[in-house]
Amino acid sequence: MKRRTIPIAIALLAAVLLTGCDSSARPPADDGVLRIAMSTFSEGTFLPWNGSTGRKFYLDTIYEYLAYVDPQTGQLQPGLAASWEMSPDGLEYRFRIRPGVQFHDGWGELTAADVKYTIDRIRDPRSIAGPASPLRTLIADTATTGRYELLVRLTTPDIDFVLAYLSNALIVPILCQRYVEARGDEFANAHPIGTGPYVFAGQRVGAEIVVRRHRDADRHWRSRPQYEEVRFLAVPEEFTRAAMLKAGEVDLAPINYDSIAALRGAGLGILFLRHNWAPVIRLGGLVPRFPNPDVPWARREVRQALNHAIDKRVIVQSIFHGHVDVVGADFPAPQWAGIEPYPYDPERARQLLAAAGYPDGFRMTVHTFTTNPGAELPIIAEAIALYWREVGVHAEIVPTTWTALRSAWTTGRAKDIAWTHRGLAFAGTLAGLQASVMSSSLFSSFATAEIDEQVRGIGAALDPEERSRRITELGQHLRDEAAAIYIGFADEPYGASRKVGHWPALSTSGTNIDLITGPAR
Amino acid sequence: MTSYILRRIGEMLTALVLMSMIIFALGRMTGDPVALLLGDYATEQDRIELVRQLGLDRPLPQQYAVFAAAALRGDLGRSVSGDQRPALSIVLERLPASLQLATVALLLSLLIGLPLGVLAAVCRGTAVDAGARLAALLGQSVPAFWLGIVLMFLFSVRLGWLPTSGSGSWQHLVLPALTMALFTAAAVTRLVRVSMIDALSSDYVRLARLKGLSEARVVWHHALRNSLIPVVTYLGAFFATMITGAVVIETVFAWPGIGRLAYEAILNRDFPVMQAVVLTITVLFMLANLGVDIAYAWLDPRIRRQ
Repeated sequence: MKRRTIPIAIALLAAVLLTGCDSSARPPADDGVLRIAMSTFSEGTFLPWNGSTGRKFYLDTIYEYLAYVDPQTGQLQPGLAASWEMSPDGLEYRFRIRPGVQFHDGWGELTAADVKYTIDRIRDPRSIAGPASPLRTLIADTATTGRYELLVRLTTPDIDFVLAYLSNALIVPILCQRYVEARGDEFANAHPIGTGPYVFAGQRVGAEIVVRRHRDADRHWRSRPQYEEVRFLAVPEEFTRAAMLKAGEVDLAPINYDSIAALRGAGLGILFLRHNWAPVIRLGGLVPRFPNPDVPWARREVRQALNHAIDKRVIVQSIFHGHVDVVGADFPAPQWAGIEPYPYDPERARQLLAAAGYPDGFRMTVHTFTTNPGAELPIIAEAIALYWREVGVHAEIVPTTWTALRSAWTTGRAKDIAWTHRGLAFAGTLAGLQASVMSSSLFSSFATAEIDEQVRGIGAALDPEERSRRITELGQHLRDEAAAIYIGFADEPYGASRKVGHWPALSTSGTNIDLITGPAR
Repeated sequence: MTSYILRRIGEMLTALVLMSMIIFALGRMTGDPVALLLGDYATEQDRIELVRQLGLDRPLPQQYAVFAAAALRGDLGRSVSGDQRPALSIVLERLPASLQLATVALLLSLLIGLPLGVLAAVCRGTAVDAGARLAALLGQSVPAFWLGIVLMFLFSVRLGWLPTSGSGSWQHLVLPALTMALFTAAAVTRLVRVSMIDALSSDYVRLARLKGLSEARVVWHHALRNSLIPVVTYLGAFFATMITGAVVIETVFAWPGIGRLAYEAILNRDFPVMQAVVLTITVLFMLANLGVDIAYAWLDPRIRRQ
């Protein structure tokens, strides 16, 4: 009897453990704290010039920007700059800084000198900020013309200058010159102060960053955050983030598309960063710096065939669960949302390959990696390879890392391969074009003298409608040239607890954490 | 004994130099951090400037000579990313978390493995022995990431007894330490079992029994003490494996130790941090082995006499 009792008891216990509990997510603690799991803190640094854009989640709670993008309309709103004017030739911007905005910890009022200091530090040759390079090229000089007035002269006209570089869509937040100069970069990095509604409250390196609502947040000029404290947690593994959401340990976390159904089933909300990135396959050897006329895809017909051979809608349904709009463009730009994708037509693909001199297809190599967003890139590569095999193109999939690929890409070692890529949304489409299709950019993968000229023409167009028309025209040209293998514009999913009702995030970045409201959804 | 220890330290330093060369060369074989540090808008001119700033335009032997000369002064360089802090201080900042995890995991594995091994040996051939061997087999076969996920699902998501991940309290330590410990506990169980079976059939155990000592005293005092020598031999390796093998567990449980730091540094090609992590782990590995050798000598009088 005793011999049987023990195994039965163990079996019963296991059954209770595995099935006896409710599968719905546990409610989050009602403690006024918003907990956000991030896949990485990026550099984990706090000065805008010593790290990348991935830090915006936490930096934007402490610092503020000259202008803010309305998440609903995409229009620019005044920020630390109460107003600004562009000169008729588009070469000068005059900013009027909002008076009365105070830095944390009694470091005084924000002035035009702080804005000039910050912009100059970000475009300094030692800066590794994302926009450092274009700002070095674009800005001729900066000058204060009064306590609250700043003049920025450009080298070339740019009507999207504020939107693309100085708004909260990118990472040029304004710091206190007096504080950084008095305490030094190292101290200012360890104890950041800004003008935002939250103040830095501490961090455990590699684990947690904590910001606390400013004591005067109820009177803050821009934002009245709902949460007393925000805790950012570095959680690299997606399964762990999903488990934390279910266990009620975090309120917001980036998740994979495959987790959406399970989290919804557990009663959690799913929020999306609309058209945040575009899965795409880019092709090497198509830029003037590293040309390779010997690759089959040097012929336009081959590139078109590779596009025709793929059933994008099946990939979108099976891998992205429908959260991608099929578009014939390689990074999300509002002007390109209507560009027709290549229809799935394997027969047409075979004809094009035959016309290009490859009736039996060819062999190629596709490098792939995972990023966030972009955990799905390897499986996309596998799916595309299967479609290509149907038309005779045999792709060998080579796993690599984003770093190794970027290194190969920028030094000419990727000119005989293709690679999966995530085209991220840019604050201004012109900036995106300059980064991705200009010959001078390190990260272009399809560039010609004609496209360079078109991009310059877009920059010179001072009328917004004219600029938009030209961007659409260039997008169509890139699509017709089959500059890449397109799939569409993806919405990046985030799991959300009941605490998070509304997150007015921008598609370009995980910002506006201070504007999150809840709990009703 | 002193000359033995000095000789071991000399060997350690030689190995350290060789390891620094290997990691220096291997790290640079798969690219550099330049492309990652450059923003999406960067031009060729920006790339050239950054390569120069980081000193990556110099020949590799020259880069190594600069690194080695600085390393002799205790300077392992500065991280190439972010605020460019000293690489060694970044590693030392994360090291306590890894040491804490590895120490608790090691203690847990001994707590589980020793009694289980003894029990299996004493009950050799019975269902208890079979169960212990099966548990040990499973413990060594199950991948750590899978086990970690299962434990997290069960104890955090389903039961809500423990936090899923993170750090900051003893509760956070339980799941990663247990995940890490189960593999080593299985190895300890197998080692102790085999060693105890030998010991229990030895002359000195028979003599102890003939002297009328209680079975518990014979097993736990006489047989176990001698059986521990192979376990102690492996303890250093176990401990070092726990530090180096923590990459997966620290990632799954978001534990901020040097395993995760190493992973991040490799992904970012942060050469100075990579080198500092590997050299720190190497030193830990060597110190653990040195400690084992000394403990071995303490446990076995024959070695002391040699």
